[in-house]
Amino acid sequence: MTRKERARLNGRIRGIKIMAFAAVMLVMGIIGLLLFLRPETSTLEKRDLAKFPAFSWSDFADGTWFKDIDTWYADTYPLREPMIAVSQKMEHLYGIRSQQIIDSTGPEEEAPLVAESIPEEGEGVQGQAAEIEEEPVLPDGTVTDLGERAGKIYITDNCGYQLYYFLEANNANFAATMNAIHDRVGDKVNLYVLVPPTSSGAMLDQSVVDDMGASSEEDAIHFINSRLADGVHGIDAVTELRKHNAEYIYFHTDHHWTALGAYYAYVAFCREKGIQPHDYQDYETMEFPDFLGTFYTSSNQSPALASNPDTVIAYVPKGTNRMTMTYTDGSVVDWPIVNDVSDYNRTQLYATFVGGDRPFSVAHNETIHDGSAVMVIKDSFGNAFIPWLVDHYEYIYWCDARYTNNTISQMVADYNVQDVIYEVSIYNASSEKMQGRYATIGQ
Amino acid sequence: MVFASLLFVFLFLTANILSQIFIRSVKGKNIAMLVFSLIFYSWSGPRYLILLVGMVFICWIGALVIQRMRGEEKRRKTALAATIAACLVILGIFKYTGFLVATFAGLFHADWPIPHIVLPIGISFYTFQLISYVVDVYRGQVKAQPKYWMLLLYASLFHQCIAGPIVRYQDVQQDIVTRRPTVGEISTGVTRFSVGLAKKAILANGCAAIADQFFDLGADALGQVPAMGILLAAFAFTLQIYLDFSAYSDMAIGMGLMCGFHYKENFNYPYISQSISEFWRRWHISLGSFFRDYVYIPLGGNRVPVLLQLRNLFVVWFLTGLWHGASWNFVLWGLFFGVLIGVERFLLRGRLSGLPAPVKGIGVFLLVMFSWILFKFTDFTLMATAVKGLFGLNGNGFTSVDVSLAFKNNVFFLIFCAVASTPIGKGLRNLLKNLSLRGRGLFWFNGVVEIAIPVCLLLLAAAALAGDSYNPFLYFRF
Repeated sequence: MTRKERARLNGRIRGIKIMAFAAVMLVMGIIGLLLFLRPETSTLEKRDLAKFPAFSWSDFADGTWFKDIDTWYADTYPLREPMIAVSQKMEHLYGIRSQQIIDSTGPEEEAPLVAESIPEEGEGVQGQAAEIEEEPVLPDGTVTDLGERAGKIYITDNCGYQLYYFLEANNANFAATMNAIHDRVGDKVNLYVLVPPTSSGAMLDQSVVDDMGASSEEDAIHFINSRLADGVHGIDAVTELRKHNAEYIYFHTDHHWTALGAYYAYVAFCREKGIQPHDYQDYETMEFPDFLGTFYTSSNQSPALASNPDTVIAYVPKGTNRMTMTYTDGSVVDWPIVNDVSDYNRTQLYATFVGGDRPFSVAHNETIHDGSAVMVIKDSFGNAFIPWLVDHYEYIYWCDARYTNNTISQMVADYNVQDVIYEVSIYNASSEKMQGRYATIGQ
Repeated sequence: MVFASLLFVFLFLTANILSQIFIRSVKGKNIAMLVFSLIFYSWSGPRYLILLVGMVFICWIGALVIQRMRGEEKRRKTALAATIAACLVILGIFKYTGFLVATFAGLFHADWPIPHIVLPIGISFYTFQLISYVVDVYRGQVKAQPKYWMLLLYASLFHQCIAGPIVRYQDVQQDIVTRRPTVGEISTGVTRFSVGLAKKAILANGCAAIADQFFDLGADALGQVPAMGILLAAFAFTLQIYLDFSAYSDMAIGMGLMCGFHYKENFNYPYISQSISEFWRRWHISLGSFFRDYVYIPLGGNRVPVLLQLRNLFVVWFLTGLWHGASWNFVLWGLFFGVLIGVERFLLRGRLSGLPAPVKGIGVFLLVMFSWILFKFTDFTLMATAVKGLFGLNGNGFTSVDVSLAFKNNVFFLIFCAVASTPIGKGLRNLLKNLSLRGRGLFWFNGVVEIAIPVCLLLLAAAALAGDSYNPFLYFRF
C-alpha cells in the first residue's frame, strides 16, 4: 500500500468514524425526543418515573426546574431499562462476583421493607381497579406494588439474601405493642404473633451472617417471642423453616418466602393453635416460571440473579378461591385468592397471592358453617400465608398493616373474630418507622 | 448541566454540533456557541448567569482601560489591581464568606450566624480565566477584546467553563475569530470526547461507588472500617479523582476539536510521576501554570533568597489548596504538597534520583494517595478517623468480609482503572497504528478499531449513565 493510498484510506476511515458517531448521537437524540415512547412507570422498579416538572419562577431561578428536566429526561428515556441491563452485564465483569453485597438504600437510610407512605388512589393498580366491578384484567406491566427497598443484599450462588441488623428497642417495642393489643381485646380473642424471618434468617449459616457483620434473625425473633405476655401466642416459624431449609422455601431473586415457606409457618401456627395442618401435597397448584423479584430490581438487574430466575408455585385453596378486596377509596373488587398471573410482567408474579397488598380483604369459605373467623394483620409475607388459612375458617379477613385505617378492637367487634394473627416480617417488626403504625392499628 | 448526562450528550451536544455544522459564518457560529453556552450555564440556576455576565463586563472594561493607558504605568497598574480586586472580591464573597465567618467565629468563640451562600458553578474557573486575560492584556501578551460578547463567549464557553481546563485567552483568541476544523481534528475530537465520557461515566463513577462504600459513612461507621477497607477506598478515590477530572478535560478538549477550538492538555498521566514536583507538572496543568505565571514568578519565584522562596512556596500552595474549596482541609492538602516540594527542593536536592524508578514511582503514588484522604474529608474528625484507620489504629483489625468482597467484586475493574491512569493504553494504540503500516490486513483492522472505539464507548457510557443515577461531580465545588 503506497503512502498516498494509505493517506486517502485514512481520510475515509476518519470520515466513516465521524459519520458513525454522528449517526449514533442523532438516533439516540431523536429517540429521546419521541415523547410518546417515554414510559410513565417502571414495572421493573415498581415505581412511577419522574414527571416533567411544572414551571415556577422560583424553581426556574435556582435551577431546580432545569435539574428536574434532567432527571425526567434520564428517568423516562425510552431505552433506559435495556441500557441498565447492558450496564449491569458490564459491571458483572468488574471482578469475581459469585458473592456480592449490594446496598440498595444508601448509608443513611434505615432500609425498611415497606412503602414510605400510604399510597393514594390512582397509583398503580388501585386507581385502575377502582372503576371496575368485575374481575379486572390487569395489563402486563401494571405496577401492582409500591416500590420496596431491600437494604443490604448479600448475593451468593446466584441467590439474594437480605441482611438484618438487630434493633433491640424497636423489637421490644413491637412485643409491647402486641401485649397491649392482648390487654385490649382480652382473652376472648386468641392473639397469634407470627414474625417470619427473611431468607438470610432461615437459610444462611449463622457464621456467614456473623462474617457480614449482620445480626441473627432467629435470635431477634426469639427475643420478640420471649417478650410476649402470657396469653399471647408467639409462633415459632423460624425454627420450623430452618428445619426445612433444604427445600424451596424462599425465592432466590425476591425477599419473600415461597408458598411452601409460608406453609411451614402455617404448620407452626397449627401446632400453636392445636389443630391439624393440611398436607400441601393435597392441593392443586399453579406455576409461574421466570420470576425475577425484588432482589433483582433492587440490585439494578443483577446478572447473577437474572441467571437464576424463580418459579412461583401457588397452592389453590380448596374451600374457595374467591375473595373481595377493598381499595383505599372504599371500592370493592371480587378477585381470586390465587390468581393466574401468567400474563403479568415477570417481576410481578408474587402478586398471584391475594391480589397484592390491600387495606382490607375478606374470603368466605362456604364449605365451613361454624362461624369461625380469623383476622390477619399482615405485610406482604402474609400474602403467601393467607391461602393456607382458607380451609380452616368460614371467614378470613385480612388487612395490610401499611395501608389499613382500621383498628383491631373495632374489627374484632365488627366481624366477631375469634383469632387474630399479627404477621410482620422481622425486618418490619424492627422498623422504627412502623412502630407508631402498629400501635395505631392495635387500638 | 453536566457533561455526563443523557440530556447533555444526546440533546444539548447534538444540537450544538448541528448548529456548528449548518451555520456557515464564524460570526454566526460564535453567536450560536454563545447562546448554547449561556443556556448550559443557566441550567444550574439562571441567577448565577448575572454574576458571570457581570464579571466579564468588569474585566472587559478593565482590559480596555489598561490597553488605552499605554505609557501611564501607574494608572495601568491601578486599573489592573482594581480589576483583579473586583474579581477576587466577587469570588471571595461567593466562595469564602461562610468559610471566613466560621473561621473567625471559631477563633473568637463567637456565636455568629454562618451565611450559607450557594457557590455559583464554575466561578473559580472563569474567575481565573478572566484574571489571566486582564493580566495578559496588561503584559501586552494579548490585545484587549473590543467586543463584549466575544469576551463573554471566551469566559462562558461551555466546553471548559465549569470544569476546566483554565483556558487562557491567548490560546483561543485565534480560534474565536477564525476556525475551520479539519476532518482529522474532528475525528480526534470524536475519539477524545468518547474516551472522556466513558472514563467519567464508567470508570470514575465506578471508582466512586467503591470509595463511597467505605468513606461516605458517618464517623461511627467509618471508625468500624478495617485498615484494608480504608486503603481500598483511598486507592479507589485516588483513581476516581484523576479519572473524573481528567475525563472532563478530555471531553472539553474533544468537544473543542469538533468545533475548531484548541485547548491545551490539562493532565499528563500524573500517577507515573517520579517526584512530587513532576506530579504537579502533570496534574491539572492549567491551574499549576496559572499559579506559576501569575503568583509564583511575580513573587520572585526561585530567584530570590531561600527564605523568600519558602514564602513563595507557602503562598502558592496555600492558595492552591484554598482554590480547591473553602475549607481548611483543602488548605492542609495544598500545604502538604508545598512541604513535600520544599523537602524535595531544599533537603533532598536530587539525592533520591539514584533510586530505581518503580521505587520512586510507588513512593510518590503513596504520598499522593495519602493526600487524597486529606482532600476527601472536610470534617477533620472524619479525616483523623480515616487516617488512623489506614494505619490500623481504630482497633478493627486488618480486613473484613465486606472489604474482601468489595475487592474481589471489583478486582478486574480496579486493575483496568489503574492501567487507564497510565500511558499503557496510549502506547497500545500507537503500537497498533505502527503495525497497521506493515500490511493491508493490519491496516484495516486498525481502521475498524478506529471507527468502533468512539461508537462503542459512547453507547457503553450512555448505558452506564442510564444505570447509574449515582453521578457525583467532584469539581462542582470549584
